[in-house]
Amino acid sequence: MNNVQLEELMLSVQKPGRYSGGEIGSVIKDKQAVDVRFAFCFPDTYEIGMSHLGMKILYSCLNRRPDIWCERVFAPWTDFEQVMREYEIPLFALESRDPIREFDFIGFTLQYEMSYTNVLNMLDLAGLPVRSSDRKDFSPLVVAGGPCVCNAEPIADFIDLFFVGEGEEVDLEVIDLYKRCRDEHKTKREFLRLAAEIEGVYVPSLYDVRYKDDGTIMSVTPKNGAPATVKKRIIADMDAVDYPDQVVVPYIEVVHDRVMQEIYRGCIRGCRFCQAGFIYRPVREKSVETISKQARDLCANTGYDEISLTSLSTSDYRELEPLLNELLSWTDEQKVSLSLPSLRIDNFSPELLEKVQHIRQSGLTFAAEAGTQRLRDVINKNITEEEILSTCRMAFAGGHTAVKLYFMMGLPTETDEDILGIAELAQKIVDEYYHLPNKPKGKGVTVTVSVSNFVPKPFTPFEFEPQINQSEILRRQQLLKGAIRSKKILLSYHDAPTSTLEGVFARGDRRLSAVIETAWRSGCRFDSWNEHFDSSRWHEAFVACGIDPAFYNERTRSYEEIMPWDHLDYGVDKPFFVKQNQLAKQAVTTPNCRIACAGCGANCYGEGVCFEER
Amino acid sequence: MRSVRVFYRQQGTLRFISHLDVNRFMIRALRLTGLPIWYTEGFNPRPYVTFALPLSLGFESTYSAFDFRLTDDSITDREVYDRLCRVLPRDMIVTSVGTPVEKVGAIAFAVYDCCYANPVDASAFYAFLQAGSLVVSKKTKRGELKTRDITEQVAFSAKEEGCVELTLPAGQDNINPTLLTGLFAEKSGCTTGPKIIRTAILNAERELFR
Repeated sequence: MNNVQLEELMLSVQKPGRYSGGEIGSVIKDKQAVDVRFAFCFPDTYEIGMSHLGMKILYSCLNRRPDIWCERVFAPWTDFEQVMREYEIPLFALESRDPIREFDFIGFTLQYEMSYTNVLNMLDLAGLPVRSSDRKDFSPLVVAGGPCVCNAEPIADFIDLFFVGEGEEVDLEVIDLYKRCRDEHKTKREFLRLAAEIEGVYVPSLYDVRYKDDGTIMSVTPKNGAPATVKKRIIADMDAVDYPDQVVVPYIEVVHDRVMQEIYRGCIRGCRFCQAGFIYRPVREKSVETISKQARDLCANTGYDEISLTSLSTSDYRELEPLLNELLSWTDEQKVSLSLPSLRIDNFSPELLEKVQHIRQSGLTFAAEAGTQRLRDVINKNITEEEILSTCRMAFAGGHTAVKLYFMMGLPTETDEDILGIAELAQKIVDEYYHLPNKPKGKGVTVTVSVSNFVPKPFTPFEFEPQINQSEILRRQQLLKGAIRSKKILLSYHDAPTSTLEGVFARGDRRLSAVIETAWRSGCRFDSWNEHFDSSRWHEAFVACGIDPAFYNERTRSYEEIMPWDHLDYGVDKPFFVKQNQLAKQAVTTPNCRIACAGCGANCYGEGVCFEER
Repeated sequence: MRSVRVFYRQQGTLRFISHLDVNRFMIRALRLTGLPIWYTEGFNPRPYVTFALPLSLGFESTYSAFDFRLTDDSITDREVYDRLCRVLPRDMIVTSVGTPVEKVGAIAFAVYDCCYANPVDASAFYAFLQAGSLVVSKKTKRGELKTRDITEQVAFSAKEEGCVELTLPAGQDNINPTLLTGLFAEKSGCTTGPKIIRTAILNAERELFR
């Protein structure tokens, strides 16, 4: 297949710009002059993958090295997959259009569980066996990183090596080891054994898992010198670490089509449902100067006219006001707009609101997470109803007529009262608007209530908790729907079967690899897309493999149970999670890291918020 | 303040990019040049960029144009040309920069080369056009199927081997060449479509749009 034929075929599918490459900022190297070729794969569409900051960071980080050429690969949409299979086009990288099976590394980023079947599908489209044990050659090595690695057991059979934690340094260490082993003609097994000695590298094939009769894990035993626990890697100095000064600017519109400027990693809050709040600890900030310079360079090199500040909770950045002043000192003049996602209700000041308004912003979104104070205390959200109402009042007074609120359903200890509390809270916000003396004339208010389903995740205090089943999710959704009477309140909620499956994989073990493979072979892919998710195929796959999904998500786990992820160390101790779980049951909150250290263990990294003066 | 018209060629990977995406991309490219571009003065200021005649997805073009305004009259056409060349990708090539002569509304025709990989297909297409009674059907915005005889509006000639040149109404009453190549494919069973390159935009006098 030559390029002309390939391009003709691209024109026969939707959005050929997904596959054509050639964007400004994409890196083209001479393949004869590089030593290592790395295919960075995002197991979802171009539009989703091109919105991912981690990929931009690592793409830049790897391509800074003259001996490495990192290229991008996305999951082809089903129309193009059909064309690829019909014309036997192997999965190719966008920059060179070379088949990725010829590369040294195929690296996946695992951002959500529902992308697992796409990983298998992409390996298959590349022309490779999906199982690690069936890929005997030294290369390509199939590696993976991202948050799902904290419990990657369900896809452990397909991946040769996982990166645990932040990748900027460890990725390069592994590539250097690979080059050495290749020169010395070592085997894949020998390489993997040596790679396991690098901190932050998890080689699943070097661990034997044994199960008890009740299905829980009896033991996880390392072999061939692999460490008993694999410790997460973090970047110590956020001001010194590589940050791209140029990114690929897509031609076609993608989900986040703007400069994403990271301001810090980690989160001080410790909301008990939130995996990101624990696995990215400790909090490490960039300085105002670094952020401003990086954002300025990115605007100058890409032509973007919008910057979004990126972190888990923007308003928790210690120097937010100085930062905004600094950014506004040049963004205005350059007609660049700023957006501040992830603002918290409890530290949303009038001054901040004024700045946010100065900045173009369409709506305000707040995460209340639960409908009653009791339940917000259980999850350690640490915001009060008064704070929610006063923030909305402030927003309405400032001219906003729409707010959006995020909630979760199915949280531990949740009762019907908590569900009805969501409707009551939304109604109180509507009332706030109409009580406002100077509300805009002739304008109504819209309160959007978006309710997702709680999924217990590893490395959170709720990792022991059962997830409510589908019929219970549906019942609570109906209960909430019935309780909302105002037309000013718009309700949306998530699909129950998807949440259930996500829950199964989030805390699953290696036995689920068979289910994923079976489901994929029966046609499952793009499971996070409603139009492709096929609940019945998944059900059949579980039956065919003799596995009951309820074992993974509807069961209460004891504090003593060996979890499938216990041999990974994200810096937060299990006893801390146990203690937090007990506090949750008593509805006792824990102050954030800046108020008092809760003793989670993340100070083992010797960096960040743990060592700030209080 | 002065208006500037940029003529450019669009080829290669840029065929896969829709008109709206090219539009967004060009605004970013203009920002990258650092030229003093004029912004609209509404609530959401944005660069004022107008494209002469949108290009369909999949087409190449050797004759495309867009207009924008400079706030500083002392910037020369040469400087605009140089700065744009520095930021544009290799598949987007500026051919000339100047002051607009005609309004975009003056556009009346566009010329396309339809090049078939197999010259036999091109000859067949030519014969098909010669036979006349070109009744094409098109979906209206309401979703109704409308048929129309466009035989009178179509001018064509044979070019180098494999290519047929079409001159079709453009602008207000636009005829897309794929209506004809599609009709031909339907009637003849020819499965490989031609590569379509827009080579010129003309005014009502059939002179090159400037």
